[in-house]
Amino acid sequence: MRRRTLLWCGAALLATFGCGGGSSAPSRSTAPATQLVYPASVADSTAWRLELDTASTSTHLVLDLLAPTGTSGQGFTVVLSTDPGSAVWSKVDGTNYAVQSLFSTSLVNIASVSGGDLRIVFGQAPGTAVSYGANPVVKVELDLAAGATVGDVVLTASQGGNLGAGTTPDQVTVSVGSLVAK
Amino acid sequence: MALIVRLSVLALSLAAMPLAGQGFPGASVLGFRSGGQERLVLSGNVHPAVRDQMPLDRADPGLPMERMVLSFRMRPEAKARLEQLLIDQQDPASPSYHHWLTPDEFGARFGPSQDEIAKVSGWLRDQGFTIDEVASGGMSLNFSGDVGRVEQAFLTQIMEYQVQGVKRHANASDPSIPADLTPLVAGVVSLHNIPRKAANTGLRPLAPGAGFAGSAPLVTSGSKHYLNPGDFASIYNVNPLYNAGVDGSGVTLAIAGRTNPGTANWKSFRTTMGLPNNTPTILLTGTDPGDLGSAEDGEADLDVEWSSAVARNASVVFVCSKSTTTDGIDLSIQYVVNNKLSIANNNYADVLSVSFGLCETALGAAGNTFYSNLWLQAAAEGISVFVASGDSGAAGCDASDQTKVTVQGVNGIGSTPYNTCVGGTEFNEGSGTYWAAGASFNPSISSALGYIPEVAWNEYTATGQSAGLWTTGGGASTVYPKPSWQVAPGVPSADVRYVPDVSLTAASHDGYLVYTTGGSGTGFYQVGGTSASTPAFAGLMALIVQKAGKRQGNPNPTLYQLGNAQYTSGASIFHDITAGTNSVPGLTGFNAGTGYDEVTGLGSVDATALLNAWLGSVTTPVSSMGLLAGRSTVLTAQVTGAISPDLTWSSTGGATVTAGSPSTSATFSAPGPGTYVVTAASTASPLTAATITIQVHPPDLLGSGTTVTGLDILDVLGHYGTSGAAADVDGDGVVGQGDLSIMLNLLGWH
Repeated sequence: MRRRTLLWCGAALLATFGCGGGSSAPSRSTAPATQLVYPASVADSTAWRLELDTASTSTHLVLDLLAPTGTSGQGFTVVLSTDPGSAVWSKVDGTNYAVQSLFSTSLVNIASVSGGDLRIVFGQAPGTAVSYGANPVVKVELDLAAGATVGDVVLTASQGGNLGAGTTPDQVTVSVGSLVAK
Repeated sequence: MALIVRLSVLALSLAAMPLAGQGFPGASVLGFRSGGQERLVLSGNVHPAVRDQMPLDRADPGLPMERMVLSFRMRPEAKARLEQLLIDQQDPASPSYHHWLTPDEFGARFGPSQDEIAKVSGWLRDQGFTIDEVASGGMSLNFSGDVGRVEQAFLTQIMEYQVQGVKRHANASDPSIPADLTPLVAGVVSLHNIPRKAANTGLRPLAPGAGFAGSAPLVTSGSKHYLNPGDFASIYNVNPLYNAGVDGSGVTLAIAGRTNPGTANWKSFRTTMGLPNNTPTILLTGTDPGDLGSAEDGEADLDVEWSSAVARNASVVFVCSKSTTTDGIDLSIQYVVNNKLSIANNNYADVLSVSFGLCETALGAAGNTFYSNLWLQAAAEGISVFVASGDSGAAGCDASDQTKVTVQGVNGIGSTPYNTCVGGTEFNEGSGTYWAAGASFNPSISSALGYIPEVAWNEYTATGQSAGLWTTGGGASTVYPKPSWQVAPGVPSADVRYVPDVSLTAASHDGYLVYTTGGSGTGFYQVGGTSASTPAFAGLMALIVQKAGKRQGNPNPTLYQLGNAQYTSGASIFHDITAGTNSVPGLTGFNAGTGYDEVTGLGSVDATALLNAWLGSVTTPVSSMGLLAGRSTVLTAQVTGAISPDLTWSSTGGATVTAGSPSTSATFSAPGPGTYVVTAASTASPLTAATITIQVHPPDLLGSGTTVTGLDILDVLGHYGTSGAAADVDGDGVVGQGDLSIMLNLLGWH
C-alpha cells in the first residue's frame, strides 16, 4: 500500500513540474517601478487561466483563477510563483492569501506563502462535485514590491490539479499572462 | 367602633396634601407635607384582602411588629449593569460565564452604599425601631418595633381584619416615607401578617386498603395509583442518570419553610421508599417556630421529601424561619439568598425551591420589588430558583381551596424573570396501560411502566370535602415585561412575562405519596399541587448542577433555548402538553397547546434528555488521525450546550498536549511512534469529554526525500471514506483524516 502511494506521488511530480504557462527570462532596468501591469485577458473560456479582476489597481492586482466552461470539482491545487523582489502576494481578506467560495464544507483550506511561492489546496468534504461555472475557483492578490524596478516579473503556475467527480485528481495547466513592473 | 375607625382613616387621608412633581418610577406617585416634612406615598401596598374590608378594630399600639423587611430600591444604572451581568453569566463566550458573585460582592457592586444604608437605618432608629440585620446583599434590612411606631413612622394605620376566618393585622392605607428617602427605599414588605399561600391540595387519605401508618402503601391499589420515587424516575426517565451516579451528590438544595416539623417523617419516608440514608437537615434562621401542625407540616414534608427523593444524595436543607410580622417564608428566602447554609462546608445554596405564593396584586409594590431584587441577587449568585405557579388556575389571586374567583392573576413570587416558575400536569392514562397491574409496594420497583401522557392539571371540584380550584396556575404578569430569553413557539407576542416555564405532574389523580402527620395520624398520604411539581423539578436541577460541576444560575435562558430548539425541529427534551386548560368556572384562563402555553409552559421533561442537552458535549472534528513521529499537530474541539467552554487536555503514553488560548485547541506531540489517546474534557463537567486516537508513525513511513504535492492531498480527498485505496497512507485500511494529516504534515504548507 505504501509503495503504491510513493509511486503515485512520484508520477504526479514528474507530470506537473514545469507544466504551467509563464514568462521567459525577465529583462530588468534599475529604474524604480510604480505600476504592476497584467493583461486584461489571458486565454479563452476553454482553458484554465489566471485573469485580471476589475478590482485591480495600478499597484495592486486582483487575479481570478478561472476554470474552463463546464468544469466541476471537489478540490483544486496550484502553485503560483513570482519574484518577491518585484511582486508580493498579499492577503485577500486580511487573513488568507487565497479565498474560495465554491465549497461550503471545506475540509482542506491551504494558501501558504513561502518566498515567492503561493501554494494553494482547497477541497471540500466528500460529496457531489460543485459546478465552477463562471465563478473564480480562487482569488489571489499581488502587490508591487517595495524597491521593485522596471522590467518583466516572473509569474508561473505549476502543479495544477483538479479533483472532479471521480476519486483521482486531474492535472491541469493554468495559463498565466505576462507580468510587468513599470 | 368600626365607624370611628373609618373616620380616623379618612382624617389621615385628608391630612395628606399632594405635592406636585414628585414620584419615582413604579412607586410613589403621591406627595404631601406632614409636620413640615415632605413625604411620598408608597402606593400599591395595601393587601387586597383588606382593601375593601371593614376592619374589626384598630390594632393595639403596643402590638409587636417584628423582623419587618424594608426593601431598598436598586439604582437604575446598577440594575442595567446587573441585567448585563446576568446575560454574560449565561453566555459561554463571556469572561463572566458562570462566574457567580457572593452576597457581599453583589452588595458592593449593585446594592446601596454604606452611607445610604446608614441614612435609612438612622431614620428607622430615630423612629424608635431596632435594626435587626442588614442583608449581606444590601438590598433589604429587617427592623422591629410596634404598631404605634409603625403608624407614626409610616403615617398609616394598622387595623385588625378577619381574613379567611383568621384575625390578622394589616395597614389600612399605603405607607409614606420622607421624600428624601424615596430614591433609596422601595417600600416595607411586611406591614401585615397575612401569610403566603402554600400551593398544595392538602393531605388526602389513601384509598382504603392501600396501607397507611407503619405499613408500606400500595403504589397501585385497584384503579388508583400513587406516585413513589421509583414511579417518578420511570415516568420522567431519571433512572439512566441514577445508574450513571448522577443523584445530586455534592449539591445543596434549599427548601423555604416556616414550620419546624422535625426530621422523623423524612427519615421514615426515605427508609420506606428505599432511598439512601441521607436525611435532610433543618436550619433555623432565628427563633424556632416550633411545629405548626399538619397543615404547615404537610407542605414542609412534601417539599423536603420529594426534592430529596429526586436528588437522592443531595444535601437538602430545610431553611426555617418563624413568621413574625413578616411571613417566615420571606425570611427564609431572604436568608438563603444572603447567607451560607453551612459554614463548615462553606457553601451557599445551589438550588432553592419555594412552594408558596401570593398573586402580584396581593404582593403589592414593595413585595414585588423585594422578590424581584431577591431573585436578581440569587441569579447573580448562581442559585437556581424554582417557584410554584399556584393551584388556583388562571385565578391566581383567589384561594385554591375555595371556588370563588375574581380576576386573572399569577403568583408574584414566581413571576419574576429571574426564577423558574413550575406548573402542573395530570397523567392521562385513557385506555392505555401505563402501570403494572396489582403491583404491591416495593421501593425498588416502579409500578409505572414508563412515560404517561399528560394533560394540563385541572381538578376543579365544585363541592364536597375536596372542593376547590385545584388547577395549575399560569398566565401573564402585570409587573414584568417579557425577558429576552422567553422565546419559543407558542409564547404570545405581547411584551409581558408569561408563566409557568415548565411543569411536572401535580394532580391528585395520581398523587404524590408523602409521609406526614395528618388528620388520621402519622403515615402516608397523597398530595397534589404545584407544591409537589416544584420541589421535584428542583431535584432534577440538582442533578444538572452535580453533572455540570457548578451552580447554573437562572435556568430559564437554557430551558427556553432548548425548548425553542425542540419546537422548531430540535431534539426531544420536553413532553409537549397540548390538551387541557387552566380555566375555572367563572373565569376564562388559557389553553394548553403546541409548544409553549400559559398553562404548562414548555411542558414536562425527559430528565435524561434534559440533562444531556443542558450540559451539551465536547466534540472533535476527528476521532482518529495519523501523525509522523517528530512532528506536532494542533487538535481542536468544539463545546456545545451549557457547560464551560474551558477544556483540559490530557494524553496517554506520556505525550505532551498543551492547551491553547482559547483552550478549545491544543498542540500535541508524542515522544515516539505508538498509539495515543487524547482526551479533551470540560473543566466544569469532567464526565463530558471527547477523545482522539492518534497513531504516531515512524518518521520514515514514506521514505526519505519523498515530496508531497497538492495533488496528493486531492488524491486523499478523492478517496476519502474508501478502503484499500492508494491514498491510505497510514495503512489503517481506510482513507481518512489520518491520511490527510500525514499528507499535510509532509506538505508543510500549514
